[in-house]
Amino acid sequence: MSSTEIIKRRDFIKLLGAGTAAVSTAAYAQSGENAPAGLEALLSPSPKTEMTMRPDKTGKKVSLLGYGGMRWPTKQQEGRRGGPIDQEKVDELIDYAMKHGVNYYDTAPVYHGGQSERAMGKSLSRYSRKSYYIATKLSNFNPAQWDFDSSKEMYENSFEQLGVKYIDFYLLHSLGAGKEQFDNRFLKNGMLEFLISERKKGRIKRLGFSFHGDRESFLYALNQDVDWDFVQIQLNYFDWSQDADNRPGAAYMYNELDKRGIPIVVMEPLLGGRLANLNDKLLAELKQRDVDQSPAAWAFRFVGTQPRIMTALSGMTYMQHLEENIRTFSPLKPLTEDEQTFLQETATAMMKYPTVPCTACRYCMPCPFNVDIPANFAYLNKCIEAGAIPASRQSGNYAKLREAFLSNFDNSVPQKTQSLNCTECKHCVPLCPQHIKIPEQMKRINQLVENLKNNTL
Amino acid sequence: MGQHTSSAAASKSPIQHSSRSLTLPIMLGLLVLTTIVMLILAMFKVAAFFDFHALGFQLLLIFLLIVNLNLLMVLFHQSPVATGQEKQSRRKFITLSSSYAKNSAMGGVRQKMTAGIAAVTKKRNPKSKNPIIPAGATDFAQYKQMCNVCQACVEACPTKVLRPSLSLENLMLPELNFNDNACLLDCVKCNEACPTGALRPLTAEEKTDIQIGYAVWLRENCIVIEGKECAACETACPNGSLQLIQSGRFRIPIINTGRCLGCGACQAACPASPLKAIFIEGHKSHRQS
Repeated sequence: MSSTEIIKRRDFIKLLGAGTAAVSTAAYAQSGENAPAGLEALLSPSPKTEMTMRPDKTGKKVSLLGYGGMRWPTKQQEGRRGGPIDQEKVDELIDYAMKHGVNYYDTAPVYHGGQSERAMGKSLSRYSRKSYYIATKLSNFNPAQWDFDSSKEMYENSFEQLGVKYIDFYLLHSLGAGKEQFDNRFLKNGMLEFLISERKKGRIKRLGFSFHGDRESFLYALNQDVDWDFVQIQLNYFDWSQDADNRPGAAYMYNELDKRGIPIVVMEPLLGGRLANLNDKLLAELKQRDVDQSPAAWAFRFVGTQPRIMTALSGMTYMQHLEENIRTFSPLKPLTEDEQTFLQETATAMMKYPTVPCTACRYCMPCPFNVDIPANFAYLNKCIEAGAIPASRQSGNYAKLREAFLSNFDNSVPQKTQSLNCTECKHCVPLCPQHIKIPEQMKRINQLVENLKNNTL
Repeated sequence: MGQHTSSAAASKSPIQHSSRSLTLPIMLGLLVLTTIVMLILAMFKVAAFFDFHALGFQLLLIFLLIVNLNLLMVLFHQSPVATGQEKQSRRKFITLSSSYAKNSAMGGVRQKMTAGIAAVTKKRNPKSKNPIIPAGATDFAQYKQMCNVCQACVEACPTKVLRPSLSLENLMLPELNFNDNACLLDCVKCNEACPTGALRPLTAEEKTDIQIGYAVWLRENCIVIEGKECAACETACPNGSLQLIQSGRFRIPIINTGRCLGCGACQAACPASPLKAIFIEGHKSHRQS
């Protein structure tokens, strides 16, 4: 073996050795920085203990962040979302939530066309029954379900779908359409009495109701001889002090419940995601106060600052939302008084932009004429918030905005499901918990589209 | 590494020789043993063990590497008498490579420790936690499963932002890198090129509705904080999801994450060097509005 050969070979080994060492250590260091397992897990304390917990009526700890089961990830159908629930992703989300201390899981028989209960029950059944609370509802909206037997069937079916022997939180779903409807749904058929007896038996641990409606209905439901264990209301900084169309502001309901010492579950803390996507002007104002805080975090902190709130529900579809929200709540930093006033001002500013207060709950669906109501509103709101609707033909880049609005409308909402198909049958009007005058709003969209198409704006 | 140690080592060379001939079978034995352990684990499908992020797996890999390196050293240095010079260079190599390994493994730790105290002085690495993948892939797990790494999309990409990954776990899987260029909003060349459906066909209009990630601004890397004027990211943003606001003395960018599509135009335009002050963080599953 000549010496030159040896040297060459030696150089080769050096290269090889250094190369493998570099690759493996680089990968090692990288996984330490980013991966959930490995070094990271050893270095950072488990965030499980950091989630803010609030007591229920009996003093049991409930996580301040609750998981809403209305917006699970769905499988793609023909390139669009909206198919069946993606169970694998639900498992992944619930695993992450359980790991970080979320223990309140809310669903209802009507969510996802009846799939939500099953998907959630399936996913949660992998955990000890004592480690989480399940909330579901009696959604007997349809007059055909008002008799005792069909309502009871709906109740029993929830146990079967969820695969549980008892339900921790049971709600009368979406009250607020007057005394008469309350009587029909729960009193005349003896359903409320039945549910109270079920609570005595222990099949229901806590009984409450969820509410969207006027002052009178609220007090009527609240003053029933039930001893409510909790009440679910819509609360966020936008409608905290708004009393519109005889709808009480959240502050009014909060104070009434606080007086009676009833723990509160909050729904729509982000107003269907709209408080997370503010328009540029408002976003700038929020960021000016704190660059690192997202609009969603502001909204959640507002909700969590009120001490009587037991849990705030968020229907998190994407892992990134779940991660961010867990960060906000672990632990929750209450707002100062100054900050609360600031958010009130933001709400006032928001009212100047005439968006449709749709939260995409889809209670109005299906429409008998196939209009995808939430999709139409979502598109309109998106355009308003982005300032992408020209005020008139004289406005700056009218031609460009016109073109963009029309072509994107067809892409976001297929023509068959656009507002144009609305016949004003008013089927949806009583179903909307936000009391949106849907047919009128549909007409508003039609008018806008027509004006843009004919250049008559 | 003094003269003293090298001469001492040279005088002990006969003993070293005998120990070296002993090392060879031991090392070989260890190699065979670890391979068998791994095979058994694989047979019983202890999948979690083979997760690259599992600490056990990483330690085993490093152990295997050490065994292999030693084995190579032993195999290629059969000559019974090594010169002092040769030994020294070998020792140098070993110290060099081990100190390198130590440094990079400690990198993550050190960064963690200083993050709270010296966040402003220490620059941060603009790197996405999740891989960034093109619109039409929906979510990473599915993309990884369906892609056969044929690189047709990489070939098709007109701005060369789509590149095969060099990370061990996703080797050759095409990923987006926005350091030099941005993904064009009206371009669907990669979707057209994909033969497996890992990237489903999209129209240009559909693509403008899909958020693949969002921009993250790193204050500590930004040249504005050094007192310079810059609006490169704002100018580059194609859909107005980035605006500059006055924050104290500085004009800083804020991002509307609800609108940001993750095209990377801001990252490509950012003049901060060598570490960009704005980068795209990939979404775990793409958002479709």
